Amino acid sequence: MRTIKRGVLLLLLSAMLAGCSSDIREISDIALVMLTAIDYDEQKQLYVFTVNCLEASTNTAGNTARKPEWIASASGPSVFEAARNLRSRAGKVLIWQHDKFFLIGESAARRSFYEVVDFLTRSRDIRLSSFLIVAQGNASELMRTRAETGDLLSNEMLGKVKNEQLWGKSLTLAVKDIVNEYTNPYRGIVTGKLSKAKPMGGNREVLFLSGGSVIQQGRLKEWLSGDDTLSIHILVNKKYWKALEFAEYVPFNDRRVALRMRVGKRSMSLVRAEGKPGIAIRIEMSGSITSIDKKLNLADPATLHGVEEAASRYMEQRLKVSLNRFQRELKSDIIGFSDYLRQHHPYEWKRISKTWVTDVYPTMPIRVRVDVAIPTIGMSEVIGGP
Amino acid sequence: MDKISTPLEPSVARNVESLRRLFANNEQIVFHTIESSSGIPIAAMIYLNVLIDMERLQQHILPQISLHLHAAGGSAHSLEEAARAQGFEQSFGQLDVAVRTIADAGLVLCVEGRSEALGMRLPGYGKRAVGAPMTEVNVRGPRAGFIEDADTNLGLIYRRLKTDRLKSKSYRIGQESQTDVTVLYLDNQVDTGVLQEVERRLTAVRLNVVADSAQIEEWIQDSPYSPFPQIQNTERPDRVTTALNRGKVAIVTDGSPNVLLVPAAFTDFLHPSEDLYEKFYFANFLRGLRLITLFISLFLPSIYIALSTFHLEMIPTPLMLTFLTAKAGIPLPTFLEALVMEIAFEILREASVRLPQTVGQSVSIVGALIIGEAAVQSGIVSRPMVIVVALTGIASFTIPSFNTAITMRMLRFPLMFIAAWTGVLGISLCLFALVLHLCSLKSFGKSYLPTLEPMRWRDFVSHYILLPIKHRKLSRTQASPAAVGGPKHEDD
Repeated sequence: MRTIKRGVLLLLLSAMLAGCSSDIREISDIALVMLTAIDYDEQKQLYVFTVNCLEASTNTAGNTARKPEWIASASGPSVFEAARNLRSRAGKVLIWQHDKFFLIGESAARRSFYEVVDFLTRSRDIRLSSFLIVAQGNASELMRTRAETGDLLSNEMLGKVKNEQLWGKSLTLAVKDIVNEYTNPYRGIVTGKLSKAKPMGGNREVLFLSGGSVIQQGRLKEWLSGDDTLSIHILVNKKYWKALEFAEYVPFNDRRVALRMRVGKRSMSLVRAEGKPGIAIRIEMSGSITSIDKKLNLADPATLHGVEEAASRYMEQRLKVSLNRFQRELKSDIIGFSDYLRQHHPYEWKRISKTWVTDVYPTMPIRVRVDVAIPTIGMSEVIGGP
Repeated sequence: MDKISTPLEPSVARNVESLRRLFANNEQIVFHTIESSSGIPIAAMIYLNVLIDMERLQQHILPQISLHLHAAGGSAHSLEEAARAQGFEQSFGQLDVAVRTIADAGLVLCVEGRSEALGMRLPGYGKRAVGAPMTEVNVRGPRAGFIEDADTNLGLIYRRLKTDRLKSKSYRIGQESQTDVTVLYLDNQVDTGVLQEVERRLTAVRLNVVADSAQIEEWIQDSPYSPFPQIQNTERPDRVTTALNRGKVAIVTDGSPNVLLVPAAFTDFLHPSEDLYEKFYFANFLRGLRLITLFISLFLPSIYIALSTFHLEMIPTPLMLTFLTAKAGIPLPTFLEALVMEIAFEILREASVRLPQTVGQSVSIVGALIIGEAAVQSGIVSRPMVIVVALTGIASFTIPSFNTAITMRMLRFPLMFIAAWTGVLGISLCLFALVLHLCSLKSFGKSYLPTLEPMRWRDFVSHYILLPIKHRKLSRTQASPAAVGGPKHEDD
């Protein structure tokens, strides 16, 4: 009985502790950061830290779906200090755990991409699964742009990222993927590019997530066009092409055939050409016909084969152009051939790694072979014809 | 009792005098004198008029005895013969037996010149008819439920198990109430260790009055300080027969419609008897559902508190946005909000249970309307909290056993305190402690939480999953061919 009495007393006393924890954050006291923009002010040499927050407003208690967005900026000599200086304006406790996007302004990306990513990875609050996008121009300005749909900007951005695999001309990486590669001196990485423009038929500027931004040696090197980004999608990694669907308009004789393409298989191997190490890439794709500009008898196996051949050559050409640009203009191994060589041909890699960036990569022969198969020709079929 | 072993005397007058002394100040005792044809009192019939069947006594027994007596000339011997013919089967020479017979709805006949009295039971007190069980409601399955009369209850069990394997042993428990407690078992199925333990514990019960089997349950259970019920109770005869067939021991208490079943496992409290009457797909679906509701009824409010005060990152973003709107302007911290709502819910539940059924329903509807809607409208409580509390409450109603449900409801509160103090870490520690406690519990020597340790895999699974009837384990020992006609299945 004595133990029971003591136990009950202990329970009652411990009940008093409920709510005593210093870690408690009530939902009504917090503001959710939905987007973060990090810029660099060259003149003042300060980082500018901007957040887009949602907070529980007492006016909206009830069932109104409108949530007030609050956008505020603060600056400081380091990213962390800029973020802390923001507290002078924040009326609530800022919570970063639901932030899915980090926009890095062009100035910050060109100057110190490394420092920003380092800050993001060291902070406990920030999720490594959030996306990192480089903004063309000023990131905080882009963030202040109203969402085109009237939804929350963060929701709209998430939709844009999810849609990437349906057109392929944009490629956004999560912080964790960037962290794996951004310190690698041999290669570059590509992440999303956010820009602002007036859309067709619109009179207000809206945000576009299109193209890519090449990061090398810890800073932004160059912008990539949508077509080159699509090539990266196809060439880099199964993770990026396994769900990818993209459109191509392939010339065939005097006609043009629109195809919906998918990548089925991609392999890479080391070859020797002219005494130099080279890479041979083999890609199997499947396409389905979405439209043809003139009558074409696809039921004829020879014609279909011709279309397949034409599509293969077309794709090869397209990838070669992109690879040429990566090698000669950018001089940046954004496909990750260095990783392939290091993993599969370590001895060869040991030999060439010292001169990889300067000599080997820019002049390395790369062979691309694409095989496009068209297993289905669509719902409609023109009988007969030439 | 000092009257123990006082012998009866050959004189009716002196026996009546002793009984009058013992039953002094009792308006219900009747001393009926039977006279011979010559008018000499030769016998006395003693009974408590509120307990016996007066109609049968006056219209059949007394006229028959007197008819026989007069026809035979009025000797003591002929009176005894007439009485035996009317059902006076017991004969005893002790005064205390006479007293017990009278108290137990019996007639005692003292005949002049005999030092042994005759006795018979003639119960005529009111009892309700066998009806549908009040607390264990089934959609399909037998509708009969136990009543407060042990004889009727035993009859309900006996007529479902037509076998000589069904054994019983009676105990009288309660110094004053002298309640009949009958232990039933199938001798080919029962674990003798359990049976001996039941006997040992029942004989050790020291109670003055047994009002219900619950008192016996509390006295004989293994860990009286554990919040978990360790003895199953049921109102359903079909459930008792199933349990007997599984080797359990049933304890039938006179005056209680609840029969106790030992040993009990934790899972027994989660499965209603209806599981056996439904298709096993459906039964297993419901079993899974009840395991989920068990978890919900215990943990949901504490998990909500923990997530919304400590682990905001665990809430998915769209849900977080909803919470953000819902929680705006709520003056109470989440923990207090939950506590207030849970207490309000318990008040409502208690009120609707205590009130008459017709009023009770309106109380719960009005209460739900007022507490729920008004609290949300006035901004005292947030909507998600109302959903959490309502879901928790409804989940606790799906647990078939009332005493398990109430345990869950009670344990919910300390869990909420701990969640508000230490978050998910505290909840997991509590879950760990709870599982440890359940593992350490025993019910009559058998482990309470079915775990793999003392059993085989198949036994373990059968506690949670209902196999198709042909695959359920057959009787544990060889079925006696004389016992039951068809093949035996272990039901559940």
